[in-house]
Parts: sequence; C-alpha cells; structure tokens
Amino acid sequence: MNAWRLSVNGLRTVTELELKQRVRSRRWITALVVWFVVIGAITSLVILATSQMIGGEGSDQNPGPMAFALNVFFILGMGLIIAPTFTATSINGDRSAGTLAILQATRLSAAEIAIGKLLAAWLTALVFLVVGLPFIAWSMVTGSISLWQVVACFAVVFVLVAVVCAIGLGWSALLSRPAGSTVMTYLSVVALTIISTFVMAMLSPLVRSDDVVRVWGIPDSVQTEYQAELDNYWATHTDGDSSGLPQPPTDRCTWKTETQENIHMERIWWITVINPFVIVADAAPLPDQAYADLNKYASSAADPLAMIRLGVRSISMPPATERDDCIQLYAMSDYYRVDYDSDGTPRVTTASGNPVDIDSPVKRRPVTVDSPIWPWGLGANLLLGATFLWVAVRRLTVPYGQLPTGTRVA
Amino acid sequence: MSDNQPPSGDGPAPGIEAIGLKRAFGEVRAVDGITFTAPASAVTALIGPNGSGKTTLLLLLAGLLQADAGRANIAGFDVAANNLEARSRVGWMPDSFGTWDALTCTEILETFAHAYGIPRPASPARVATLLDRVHLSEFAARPARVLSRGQKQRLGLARALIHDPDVLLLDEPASGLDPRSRIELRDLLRELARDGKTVLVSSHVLSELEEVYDNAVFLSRGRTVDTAAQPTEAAKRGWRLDAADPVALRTFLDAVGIPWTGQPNGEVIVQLAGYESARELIRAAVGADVPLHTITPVAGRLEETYLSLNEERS
Repeated sequence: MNAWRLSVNGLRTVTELELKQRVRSRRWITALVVWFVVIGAITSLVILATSQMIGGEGSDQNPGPMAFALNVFFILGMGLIIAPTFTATSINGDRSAGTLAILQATRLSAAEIAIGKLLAAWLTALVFLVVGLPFIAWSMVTGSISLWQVVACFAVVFVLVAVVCAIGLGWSALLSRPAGSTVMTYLSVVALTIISTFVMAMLSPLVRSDDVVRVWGIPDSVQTEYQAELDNYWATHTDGDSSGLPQPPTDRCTWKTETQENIHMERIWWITVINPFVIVADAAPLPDQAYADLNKYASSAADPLAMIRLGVRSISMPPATERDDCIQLYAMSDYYRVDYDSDGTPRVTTASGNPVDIDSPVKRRPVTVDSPIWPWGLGANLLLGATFLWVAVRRLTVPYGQLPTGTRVA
Repeated sequence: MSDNQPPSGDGPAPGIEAIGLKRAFGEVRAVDGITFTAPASAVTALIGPNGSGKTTLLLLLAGLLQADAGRANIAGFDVAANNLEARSRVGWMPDSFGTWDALTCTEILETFAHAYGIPRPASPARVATLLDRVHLSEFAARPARVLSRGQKQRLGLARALIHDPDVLLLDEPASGLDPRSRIELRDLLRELARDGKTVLVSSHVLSELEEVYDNAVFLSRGRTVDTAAQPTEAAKRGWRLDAADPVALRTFLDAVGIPWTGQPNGEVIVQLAGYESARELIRAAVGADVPLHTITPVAGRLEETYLSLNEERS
C-alpha cells in the first residue's frame, strides 16, 4: 500500500519540518526555562520533605526510594500532561492552517507524515523529560538508587509518553476541531490513569463471593476456654504485666472448614495494569533484598514503587484456600513476635527472643517477583498507541474516499 | 519498474485527460460529469462561476480526492490506479494555502524538494533557481510570515514548480497579485507551456486568462459545457469605438445604418457579428474620413462565454 510506504528521507523531511516550526520560537526557550525551574523546585522539595519525614536518628529507613519514586511519578505525570499538547492538534490544526493538503499532494506517504509528526512530537516531549534528569540524578545519588533503576524507569516513561503522543495524533486526525481533539486526548490520559483505577475500585463489590476455606485454628470450645483464661489473667493483673500471660492453646489447633467472604480482585486486577504509573512502578528494578522477599522489603523500606508492585501482584493472586488463625493468636499478642522465612514458613519468637515451637501447616504465600506484569501493561499501551497511529495514517491517506464530516481537503 | 514508465502510445500523451469524472460530497454533486483534455505545451483555462466545481476538479486531478465515477490521467498515469506516480507529476497550487510561519522561504521550498524526493545535495540550487524565477530571491532567508499576500502567492507557485512537474494545476493563481506580478505570472505560464508543460489554470479574472490561454474548459454546475455549442462567433458582440471627432463618428454610423449607444466619455458601443463585420466597419469609416482611432471588443471571448454560462444559471 502506498499509504504505508516509509522512507528515511520522507520521515526526516516531515520530522525536520515539524521540529523547525515548533522549536524556532522564543516561547520554546522560555517554556524550557520555566519548566526547568518548576521541576527543579518540585523535585528539591520532594527530596527535602522525604528526608525530614523518613529516616533520621535511629531509623533504618532510607528516604531515598521515596524521593526517587515521587520524582519519577512527578515527571511521568508532567510528561503525560505535556505530551498531548504536541500532537493533539497536529493534524486538524495543519488542515485548518492550509499546510496539510500541500504536503499530502507530494510524494510523501500518509505513514511518513503521521510518523514524522509523531517522532517530532516525541522528541520535543523527551527534551522536557531530559531537562528533569539532573534532579533525578540528584535523588539517585542521595537515595543510593541504582543507575539501572533510573535507566529502566526512564525508558518506560519515554515509551509511555510516545503512546500518549500517538493517541493525540489519532484524535487530531479523527476530529476536525482542535478543541475537540485536545479534550479527547486529555480524557484518554485520564482514562488510562484515574478512570481505570476508579473502575476497578467500583467493580470490586461485584466480584465478592462466599468461598469455603480450610482453616487451621482452635475449635470454638477451646477458643471460649482460652478467652476465659485471658479474662481471668487480666482480672488478677490489673497492673498490665503480661509476663505470665497464658500461652495460646496452639497445641490444640486443628483443621476445620469455614465459609469466608472473598473479594476476587484476581478477576479485575488487570484493569489497573493499563495505568502508566503502575507500569513504571512494576518495571522499576528494585534492590536485591526486594527480590528475596518483596513483602518484607515493601513493608519496611518506604518505597512506593515496591509497595505498588506488591499491591498489584498481590491482588492478582486468587484468595488463599487455606487460612492460619493460630498464627494470628501469636501475632495479636504483645508477648510474641511473628516473622516469615523467605519460603513463607512462619517463625514465632517470644519478645525476649526465644524461639517458640509451633507446628503450622499453612505457609504464607510469597508474592511472586519473577512474573512481571509490566510487559502486559506496556504491551497494551503500545497496542493502543499503534491503533491511534493506524487511525491517523488511515485518515491521512490520499486520495480521500469518504471525507469526515466537517473537514475539507484544502 | 513498469510503474515508472508512462504507457507507450502514439504521439505525446495529453497532459490531462479527464473522462466522465464525478464526485459528490453527501448530497452535493460538486463534480458531475467532467470530460476534457488539456494538451501538453499549452495553457488551458478552467472557467466557471463560483460553485461550478473548479476546485473539486483540481483536487481530483491532484490525486487528493477519489472520484466516484470516471477516470483521469495525468501525464499518462491513472490518478486512481497509479496515484503516487500521477501525484509526483503534478504541481498543485490551491486557491488558499498556509505557510509555516517560522520557516524561511528557502526552508519551505527545500522541505518540498525533499518531499518530492529531489536529492538533498541538489535541492539548494533548485530552490535558488525557483526563488529567482518568482522574484523572491531577496526574501530567501526571511521567514515566510513577513511576505505579503502576493509574495506568498508567488512562493506557492515556486512550491508547485519545485519538482519540475509535467502538469501544473493552478487554482486562482492571480488572486492577490499586483498588476506587474500578474504580467510576470502570465509570462511565466507562457514560458512553462513553451517548455512542454501542461498548464491548467482557473481564474475569475478573465481578462488575465484572455491573453494567455490556448484552450478553455467551461464548467457549469459540475459539468463541462460543450463549448462548440456556444454561439460565440456568430452572435453579435459589443464593440467600443472612439474617434478624434465624436460627432463625425456618430454621423457616419447613422449614415451607414448601424445602431449605436453613446457613452458619457464620448465613446459609442455598436453590435457587430464577428471580426469580418468589424473589418468592414473600419474600412468604411476610414474611407469616409472618420478620424477613428479605437475599435475594441467590449468584453473578451472568455468573458462573453462566461456570461452566457451565467445566463443559464437564472
């Protein structure tokens, strides 16, 4: 097909034209300077604020990951906001300016015009993202974030910005009015980020069901006995001394079946995978200890990227069919401490550090880190971008058959 | 690469060949059966009232719009079946077009040179030649936004010529041009025709076309009008006469029995059938010692035909 013919010369011609037209204005420099100042102020603020809130004397928490994550999210968010401005009026704007048809009449193919415009817009958006890199480098150094993590995060952000550029291009080809295509492009970005999460949340009551689960716990009669013992203990120890607290009757734990209400997020969790913020969080390489035990790392490290990854991967797993109530008896008591091995086996120690011999048949299920979900999200986004690009090429293909309502050729 | 070779045939292919072209936009039948041929090495005028389908016809020929029916060949290439080849042989100048404000004239023309696949090393020279040809050399490095309307129009013409097309489609090229530029445009069109190009030019300034056209295609309501059926030669046309002695002229006309109408400035208008009658009138007037110094048709032929088309509108 002629419309899809691509040549280096054709792409270069359109891209150069778009870049020259866009870059050669004072406003461009002004916008970059303002942008540099704004992004510098915000990222500095984030780094300072997180260092005040997290860590400090006697804490083993590092504010670096939080600062880095917030800064990456800020730059991604700004990228998603500015990218539409470069393409959302690209085609319908040129059409009303009378500069589109004379290009279509040349040897340039529809694909060369569309992809050239996309490339130019993407490169422009990248300049804005790259301006933020010094501040990212700063939060990388102060937060001892690996270079690999920075590179991976930004590669994903760059791709996502390209997708948004393509969406804008598609809308500008579909709708004749620049105002309409701008609104639709921003709505698309909102749909990817906020609406997708909202839809998932609103769907969650609909995926509730009562499931039968096996429970490792104490029988009701024993529970009543134990509660009476506890009440008795506290009645005689009004000073709050818990050192002689009766041990939970875990030796009398046994299997029983119960009906439990579960929210089957594993049926709808995939909606959130389209969200650019989730994709970046899931794609970010984490420190080695996070791979050893994501659960432990996420709960201790104050790293939003790890927390989002843990959250998304957790809700992707179906609810467990076995439950350990006995371990909860230890966990609820101040006198005991519950930890988990990396394979999910619970270990109980007394507050003074002596191991307690328990015999729990239920392991905590580890959250998988070796089956990433971000490729699906990125793939879905790329597919979306490709669809909009395809629409743009179709709409630019000459000779025109059916003309969209409200448009003129020239 | 048979696609790149024009179909072989006897003699040079006509630049433009349109057969039964039709194109509707919804209910509006903008082009409703246009058939004509525009030969190479000639300027063909495209004439018709507003809304007669001129611009749509040019879009069809430029390969931007699909015909509902009929077909068109550009330099031997079918616009539908071989769109790219046809497109690359057309220089199209729309009636209104935009420029990239931030780009200089040179950059705009170079962009189009590249878009037509002219080798990049060769394009600066080509651009300079064309800027010179349309007398915009002094604006070569200036941004296009400083150009006046007429200068923009000339830049548009240079843009349409950048790839040395076989066929030129010009939609109202004279609009916005000052008289001098109009004369230059006329000379340029003649030059292009002499170089073997096919020039199709639409204009509502008929006096411009009058001096430059070789053939004319008349459009009315989206159709070509059979010009042969137009009573152009036989019908009487108005001629304007003026003499050093207006009274003697009037007396003479009365004497030979030619009805006349006087004009406020002393001229008189008479109705004559064809050039032969005009010649006889001149001979008789000179013979009668009338100091006749001006005899000219009131309107050009194009204008007369055009007006007769307008009459059918009512």
